[in-house]
Amino acid sequence: MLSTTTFSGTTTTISSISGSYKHLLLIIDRITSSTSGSYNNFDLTPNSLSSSSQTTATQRSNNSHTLNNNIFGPFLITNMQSAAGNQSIAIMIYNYASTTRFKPYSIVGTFTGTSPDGNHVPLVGGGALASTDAITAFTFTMVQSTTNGGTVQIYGVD
Amino acid sequence: MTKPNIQIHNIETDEITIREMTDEEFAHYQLVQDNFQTQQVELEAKAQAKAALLERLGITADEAKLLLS
Repeated sequence: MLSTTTFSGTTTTISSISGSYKHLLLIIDRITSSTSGSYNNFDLTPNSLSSSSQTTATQRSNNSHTLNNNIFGPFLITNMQSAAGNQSIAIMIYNYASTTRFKPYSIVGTFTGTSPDGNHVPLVGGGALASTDAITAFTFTMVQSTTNGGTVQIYGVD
Repeated sequence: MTKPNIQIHNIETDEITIREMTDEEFAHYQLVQDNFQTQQVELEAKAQAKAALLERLGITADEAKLLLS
């Protein structure tokens, strides 16, 4: 295991990720937002993707093909129940340290959301970061609120 | 304008820093917020179009689900 980070505030960046492994596994667990009774979106962006020169292409199990700067874009989680604390997501990113290849990723997990309220919404899908830049950082953002706990563990996989 | 704080966990040194966002970090933060607003507008438009279609067809949402099941 490379790290365990507890989310804090609106934005958490994990930096200086070692490039010594073949793949990365991220386990995101029990994220909650601080705005009681609300529904929030949660974003995960690799490196500092503020331009469209590096994009992801994602296919969700229940959604159409999307292009965005964010992993699983436009949001990793949409309409997450603020205080549920049952969110659990595993993300595998392949070739993350390569400077010549794109980075495929797969996502499995669930979060507590709406339709109906309290429903455990499955997250199943994958795509690729269409960039030859090595991934050395991740930025997590809670939209319209701040995080109130939850962790992300990062594992290097050979 | 005060920018939000950002937590940075350098996992090489295990050092955790909390400070105000830089301009570049704030630009990314705003992009994420803008994506959210765009998504909300799209969802609202979709919900309105759906309601209008159901009304034209003269069926309820539950009846539409039954037809598609």
